Amino acid sequence: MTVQGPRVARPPDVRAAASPAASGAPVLDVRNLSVSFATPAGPVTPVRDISFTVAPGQRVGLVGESGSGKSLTALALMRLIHPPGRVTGQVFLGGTDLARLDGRELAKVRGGQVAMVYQDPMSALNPVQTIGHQIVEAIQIHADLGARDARDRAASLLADVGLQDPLRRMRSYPHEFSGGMRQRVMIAMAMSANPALLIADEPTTALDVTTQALVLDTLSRLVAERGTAVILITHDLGVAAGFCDDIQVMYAGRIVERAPASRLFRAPVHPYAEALLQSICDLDADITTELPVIPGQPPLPSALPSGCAFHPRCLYALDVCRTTEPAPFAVGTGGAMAECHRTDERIAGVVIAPVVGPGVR
Amino acid sequence: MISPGAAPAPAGVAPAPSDALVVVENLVKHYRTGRQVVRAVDGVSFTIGRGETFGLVGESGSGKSTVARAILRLHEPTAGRVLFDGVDLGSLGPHELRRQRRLMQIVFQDPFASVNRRKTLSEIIAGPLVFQGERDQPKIQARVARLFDIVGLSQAYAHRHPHEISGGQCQRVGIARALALEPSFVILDEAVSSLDVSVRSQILNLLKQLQRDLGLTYMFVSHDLAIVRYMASNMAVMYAGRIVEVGPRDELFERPQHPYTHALMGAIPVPDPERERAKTKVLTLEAGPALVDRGGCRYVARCPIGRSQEVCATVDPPLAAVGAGHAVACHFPQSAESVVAASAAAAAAAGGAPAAAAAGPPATAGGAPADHAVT
Repeated sequence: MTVQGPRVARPPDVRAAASPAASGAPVLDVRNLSVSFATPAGPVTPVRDISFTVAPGQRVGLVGESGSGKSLTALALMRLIHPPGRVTGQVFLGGTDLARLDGRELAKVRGGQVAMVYQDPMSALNPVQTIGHQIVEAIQIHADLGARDARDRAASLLADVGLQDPLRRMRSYPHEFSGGMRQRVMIAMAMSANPALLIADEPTTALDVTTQALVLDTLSRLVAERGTAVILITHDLGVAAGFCDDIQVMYAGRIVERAPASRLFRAPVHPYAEALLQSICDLDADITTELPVIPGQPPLPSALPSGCAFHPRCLYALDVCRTTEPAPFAVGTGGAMAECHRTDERIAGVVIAPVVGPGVR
Repeated sequence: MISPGAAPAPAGVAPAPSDALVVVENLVKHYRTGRQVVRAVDGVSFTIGRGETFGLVGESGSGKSTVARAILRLHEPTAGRVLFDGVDLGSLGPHELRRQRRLMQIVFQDPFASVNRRKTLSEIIAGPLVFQGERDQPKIQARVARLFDIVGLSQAYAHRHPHEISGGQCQRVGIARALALEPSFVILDEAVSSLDVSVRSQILNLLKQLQRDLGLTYMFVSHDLAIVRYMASNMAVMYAGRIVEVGPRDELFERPQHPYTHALMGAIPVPDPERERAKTKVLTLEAGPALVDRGGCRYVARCPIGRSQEVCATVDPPLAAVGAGHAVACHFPQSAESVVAASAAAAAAAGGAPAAAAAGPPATAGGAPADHAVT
């Protein structure tokens, strides 16, 4: 990795969940998680020392642009990073350190306590087996059920996700389903073992907006009924806004802001979060003016800027931002934080005149 | 220029014929797959005024990209006519068509998939010039340098390859290539859809600026209603190969009439939790099992209003004017309030599980998803 400024020790208190719903023992406790890859040009670290917790039933959004490290984070949580990738740090799931589990124990956890839903249901489903066969198989891996019971269970799960006439639909193959229906099947399979945590990686990105709205409604109802905690990974701030209690914004492999959804969209503290929200072209965008933009490009993990990784694109950058990587600063008392040297000024609502200097391009 | 033999203006056309650069008349594109015919585009008409941006919005499979390709004759239309600056493109031979195509360019969705990865960026941008017979190297180099400038790319990138640049930069290359031959008309087919939010806004600003500076006419094809609103002055909403609603942007956003347009607008996620949770959602149904085609409206199976109407199942509604330049293909054009009321009633009737309520008046035939109307 390239130059990094000295890192200040992280105060432990800012790691706790941000919303009041998050009391009690966490379902997931991630400590100092990093993902790095050995490359001919030296190691690169696309996920850099991130820590967070997810409480039972809590919905946490992991939001960022491509290359921010959000999907790698999800894979690392499930121990799905293979060499030359390397994962360091700890992931506690209901108190168990996943790093200590062997392959068989890990297989029990995956799809059992934690389940995943991916972006593309067609590549996650087997095209030459019926939907029924696949969902029954998923059920029987994690529950000691006979064929008939497993089939009944599958039918009731499919009915839960909004499929009509599930027993008949179970005889269909994936290609006979529309994209939205396939994603409903994936959700049914993911929920089949009643996981404590569901990791949904861009679950509706491949769907049309009207279908997306229907599938998100179904997912929302299902996890609310069962008290399932969710990590929703998305690039779409609108989707995160509608679904999540808390949102973590990722940039260049770090969580740069964590906040309750209701506050983040009203009063983002981190300059990147603010700029990202402003640059969205939504239905309220002023069509008579230019859209606000974030100048420049997100950095590559192999060529991170010194200090704060966002400083070359930041309107508020100071000298300290160019030299020192910011530690997480608490925002309020609920566990919300922002990794920005000017957090206090931003919270105080002090209007910061943009600092024009070599950092601004 | 005045179009010769000025064709009867299709319904819902805003600009006067004298301002029209592109006139699309009853465009049809069918694909034969085995014994079935997929009616990807089925009778689409609209006019694009000189210097304006015409937005074409719809979900995947609605036929919007097929319209784009059929206009340029990248796919030969099955029927219908496209007039470009008064010239019927269908009447041109290969040589004349190639000459005409200098003026009509397209930018595709995936910047990396639409460039040759073994060429340098300056070779890619010079491609159309060379293809059109330009051999004067200094002239080509000067033009390419100017194009780098126009789209905001540093000259330092001239000898790089596509894998060395980001998606946003590569899309600038795609735009520079489209502008190489000084076209008057550019089709932007989901040109910003694969870009991240922060980069997308940069490209949208660039496109608007280029339009002002170069007097370009755009057709902006997208599934994203918010972006079409920002870019377009007139727009059409497509569903299953048809235009279901067309009109000036403000009219369409302030007074949408088609139940599908309402559904599309209600489904856009709003980046604000309070407004997102408070917004009224219009019920639409997921494309379920294909219905027996009884010749009716193509949206009937997903429509909260049409599902209980015999006329919607049996009679295909034509585009009919409902306001100045505003036309809707619906037997029961509605205000937002009445569609929401109908949605609520339908949701209640379906036991609060809208997605499960795929039952419509026509008998279900089972089998394939009904993304396309299939005959």
